[in-house]
Amino acid sequence: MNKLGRKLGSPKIFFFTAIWLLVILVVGTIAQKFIGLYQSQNLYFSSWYIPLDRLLFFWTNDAPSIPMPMPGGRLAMAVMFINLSAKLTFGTKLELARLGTFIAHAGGLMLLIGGFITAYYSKEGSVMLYEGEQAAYFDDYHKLELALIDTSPADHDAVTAFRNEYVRPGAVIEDEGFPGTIEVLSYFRNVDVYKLEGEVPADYKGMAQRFSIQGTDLNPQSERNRAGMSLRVSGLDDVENGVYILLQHMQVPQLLSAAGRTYQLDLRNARYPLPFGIELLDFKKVLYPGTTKAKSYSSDVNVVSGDLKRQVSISMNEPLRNLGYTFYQASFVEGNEGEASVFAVVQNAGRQFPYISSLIMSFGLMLHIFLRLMKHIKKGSRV
Amino acid sequence: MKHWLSFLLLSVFSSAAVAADEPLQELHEEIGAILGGIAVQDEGRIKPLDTYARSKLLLFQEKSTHEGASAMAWFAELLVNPEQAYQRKIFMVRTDEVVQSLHLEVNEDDHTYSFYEIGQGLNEAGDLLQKLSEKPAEIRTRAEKQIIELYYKVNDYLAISRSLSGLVSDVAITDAGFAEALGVEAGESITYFDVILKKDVIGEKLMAWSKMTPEEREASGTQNLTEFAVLLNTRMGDMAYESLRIIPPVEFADTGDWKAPWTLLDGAPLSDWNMSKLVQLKDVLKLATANDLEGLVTAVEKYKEGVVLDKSIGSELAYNKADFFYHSLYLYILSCLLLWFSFIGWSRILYLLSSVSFGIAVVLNVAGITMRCLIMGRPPITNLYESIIFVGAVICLSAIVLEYYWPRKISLFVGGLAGVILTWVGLRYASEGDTMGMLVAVLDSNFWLSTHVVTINLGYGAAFLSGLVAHIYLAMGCVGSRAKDNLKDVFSVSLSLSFVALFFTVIGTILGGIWADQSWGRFWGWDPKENGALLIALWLLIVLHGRLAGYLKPLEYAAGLALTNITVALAWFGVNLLQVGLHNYGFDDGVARGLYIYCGAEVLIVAVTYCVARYKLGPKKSSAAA
Repeated sequence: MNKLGRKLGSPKIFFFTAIWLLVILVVGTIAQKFIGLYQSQNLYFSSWYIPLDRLLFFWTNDAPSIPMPMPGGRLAMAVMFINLSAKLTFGTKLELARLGTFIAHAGGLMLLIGGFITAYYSKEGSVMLYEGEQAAYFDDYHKLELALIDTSPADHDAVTAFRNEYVRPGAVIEDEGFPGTIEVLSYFRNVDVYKLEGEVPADYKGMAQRFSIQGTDLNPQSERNRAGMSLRVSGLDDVENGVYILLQHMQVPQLLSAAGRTYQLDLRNARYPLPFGIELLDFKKVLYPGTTKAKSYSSDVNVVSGDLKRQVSISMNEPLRNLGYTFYQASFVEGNEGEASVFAVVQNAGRQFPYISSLIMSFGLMLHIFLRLMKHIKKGSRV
Repeated sequence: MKHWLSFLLLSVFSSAAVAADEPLQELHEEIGAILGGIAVQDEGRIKPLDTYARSKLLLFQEKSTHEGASAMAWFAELLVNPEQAYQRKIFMVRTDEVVQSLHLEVNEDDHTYSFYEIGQGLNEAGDLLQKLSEKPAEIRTRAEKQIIELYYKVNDYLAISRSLSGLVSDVAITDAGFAEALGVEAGESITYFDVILKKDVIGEKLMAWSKMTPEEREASGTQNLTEFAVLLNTRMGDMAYESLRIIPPVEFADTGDWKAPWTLLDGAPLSDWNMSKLVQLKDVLKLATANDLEGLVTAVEKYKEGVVLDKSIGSELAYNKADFFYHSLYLYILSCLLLWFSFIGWSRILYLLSSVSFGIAVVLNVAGITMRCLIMGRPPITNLYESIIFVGAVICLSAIVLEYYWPRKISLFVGGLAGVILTWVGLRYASEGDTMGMLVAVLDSNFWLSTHVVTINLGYGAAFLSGLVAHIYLAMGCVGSRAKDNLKDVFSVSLSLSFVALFFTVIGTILGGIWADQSWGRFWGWDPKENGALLIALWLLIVLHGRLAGYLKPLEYAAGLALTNITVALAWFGVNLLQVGLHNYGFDDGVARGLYIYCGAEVLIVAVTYCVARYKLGPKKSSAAA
C-alpha cells in the first residue's frame, strides 16, 4: 500500500500531467478566438475527455471527426488531485527542510478540491430588473429548461421545470396533474427559423403551423445562441394533440388547454428560485467629467423577505451577499422603458477555498524560500 | 465624414500660403513653457496643458518631442501660428501602403508627413474613406484600419488647432465705416469672441447693409461687408471644435465640467466668470502671438486665478519635466556599455562607473514610479505601460541586491539588459495616450490594484529575472568547464529565483481569482488573461518537478527556466493579441510581430546555447557541476 501510494504521489506523474495540462491550456486559450469562451471551456477545460480532432484542428468546427478521446482538463486535474493526495499521505517523511513545500502542496490540494466543488455544486446566472421591479429568482447563463406552466391559479403560476436529460431528443415528459404526454422530437442549442411554405400537416399546432427550425453552428458568443425544440403532445383532445415548436426567448406563448386548465410551454434559461426577493430601487451610472467613460455603476436595491425590506447598495467590486447567494453589478440597460440593472447571481459552496488555500500556499512557499535562504547563509559565502 | 472633408478643403487649402519648414524657434519653446502650466480637463481628469500636448504629440508622431523641440513648443506654434504648424511633418505613418492609398509620395527618411499632405491625401481619398467606414471593423485589413486611424488622428489634430480660434484676432475689419461703428481702427482684426460681444451692433449693420442699394451703401460710407461676412462664416465653421476643455467651472474645478471656448461662444449670454475667463484667455493668446513674454507670464497667472484644485498640477508638470524614464533608459544603456568595456580593460574603474550609473538609473526609475503614485493617488500599476516600467524597476532593484551579495558582474549585466529592454518597450507603450488615464469602473479599486496587480507583476519580474539568469548559466556553459565554480553558483541563484517567481505568480494568480470572485462572482473563468498567468505558474511547476523527478539535469533545468521568458511574454502581451479583432489599434500588429520574433529568437538562443553547453560540458561534467 505504501509503495503504491508513494508511486501515485511521485513528482513524475505530476510532471507529465502538468505538461499535458499546459498543452490543453494553450490550445484551449487560442481556440477561444474561434469558438468563444464558453464553448472552449466546456470542450477543453471542464471536460473529462477531448476528441482528438478538437485538439488538432481547434480553429474550426468543420474538421474531420477523429473518434479518439484524449484526456480533458478535468481529467488532468483529477489525476493531479490523486497525485497530490498520495504525495501528502504517503510521501517522504516530514522534516523541517520540506515543511514549506509540504504546506504549499496542501494548499494546492485545497485549491483543487475547491475547484471541483465549484464545478459541480455552484449555480451561476443573472437577473435583470427595471427600476421598481422585484424578483425572487435568477436565470442560469447557459443551462436550459423546459417549463410546463399551469397559468390557471389566480394568484400564481404553478411551474414544473424539466432540465438536463429532459432537454434532449427522445425525452418523454409527464407531470402529475397534466393529463397529456410530451415527447421531445428534436432539440438544437442554436437554430435558424424558416417560414413554412405550402401545405402544412393538420397536426402542426401553434407556431409550428407557420415556421420550422433547423439546427445551426454555435455562435462563439454563447448568449447569442438561440435554442429551439420541437415536441409532440399526445393524450389530450385532437385540438391540442400535435407537433409544437418552442424557441428560447420566444415572445408568443405556446398554450395547451387540458382538463379545464391552461398550460404554457416554455423553453427558457433554467430559472432558480431565491429564498428572498430583490427589488431594484435606483440604478446609477457616474461618468468621468467630460467623457463617456464610466467611473462607477451602482444599484440601490431592497432585499425583501416577507414584510421585511432592507435597503442595500450594490456596486462594482461591492457585491451583496445574502443567505449564500451573491449579487454583482454586471451590466445595465438604458431604453425607452427606463433603466434596468443586470445582476450576476452566484451560489457557490466552494468559494471559501481559494481564500484559505492562497493563505496556506503563500505561507508554505514563503517558509520554503526562507528555509532555503537560511541554509545558504549557514553555508557561508554562497548565495 | 463627408461633411468634415469638404470643410477641410475649403478652410485650409484655400488659405495655404506655403512657407518653408523652419525649425521651431526658441521663442516657441519659451511661450510653450509659460503656457504648459495651464490646466485642462481631458479624458476625465485635470492635467497640465504640457501633459496634454505630450500625449497628443505621442499619438500623432510616436515621439513626445518634435525635432528636438518640446511638445509644448510644438503646441504653442499650433495655437499661435497654425499655418506654419500645419506644414510640420507631425504624422508618423509607418505603413507605406497607407501612404500610397492616399496618393502621397512615400517619405523614405522617417515616414512622417505634414497635416497638409495627409489632409490633401484624405480629401482625394474621400470615396475610399466612405467605403471603409461602411466596412465592418472585423474584416478591415491592417492598412485599412490604419487609414481609418489616421483619419481620426488628423481630425483630432485639426480640432485641437482650431479649438481656440474663436479667441484669436483674425476677423479683419477693412471697411472704415464699419470699423468706426465697432469702435476699432480700420484694417484691425478682431476675434470671433468680439463679434459675439458686439453682435447687436454688427447684426444691425449687416441687416441694414444687406437691404441697401449700391448707391445707398456708398452714401453711408460702409461699402463692403462681404469680406467680413465670409470671414465670419469661415470662423463659425470652427464651432464644432470643442476638444480643448480649458475654461474651468466657477467652483468644484476638480469634478465639474470644464468647457471648451467654442462651447461658450454659441451666442448664449455669458456668466461673469466665463466672460472674465474668456477675456483673460484672449489676452493670453494675444500676448503669445505678439511674442510678449513678460506680459504673457502675467496674463497666464491671471488666467489661473480663482481656480482651486485639490491636487496641484505643479507636481505633474515637474514630473513631465524630469522625464525620469528617458533618463533612466540612457543611464541603463550607459551602464551596459561601461560594463561591456570593462571586460576588455580598466576592469575595476569601468565596473565601478557602470555600477554607479546603474544605481542612478534605478533611483530615477523608482523615483518616477513613486511620483506617479503620488500624483494620481493610486498604486503603481494601472495599465500596461506602468506594468512594464514597474517590472523593469523591480528586476533592476533585485539585480542591485544580488550584485551586492555576489559581485560577479553577472547580476549587473542581467539588470542592465533588463533595464534597457523593459524601459524601452515601456516607453513605446506610452504612445497609446495619457498614461495616467482614468480607470474603467471595475479596475477602480486601490485595494486590488495594490495587491493582485502588484503581486502578479512581481511574479512577471521574478520569472523574467530567473529566466535571464538561466540564460547566463547556458552562456557560461558554452564557455566550458573553466567556469565550473561560477556555474554552480549561477545554478543555485536561478533555482532560488524560480521559487520566488513561483511564489509571486501563484499568489498573484490566486489573488486575481479572488478579485474576480469579488467583482464578477466567479473565481476562475478560463479567460485568456487568467490562463496566461496560469501558464507561467504551470511552466515553473513543470520545470521544478522535472528537476525533482530527476528528468531534468541542471543544464536541462536551466534551458527550461530560460524558456520561462516566453511564457512571461505570452501572458503579458500575448493575450491582448487574441482580441486583435476587438481592439483595432495598429500597435497591436506591431506587438504581434515583435512577440513572434521574440519567442522565435528565444527558442533559437536556448536551443543553440544548450547544445553548445551540452557538447562542452559533456553529460558527466554537467551533472558534476550541480
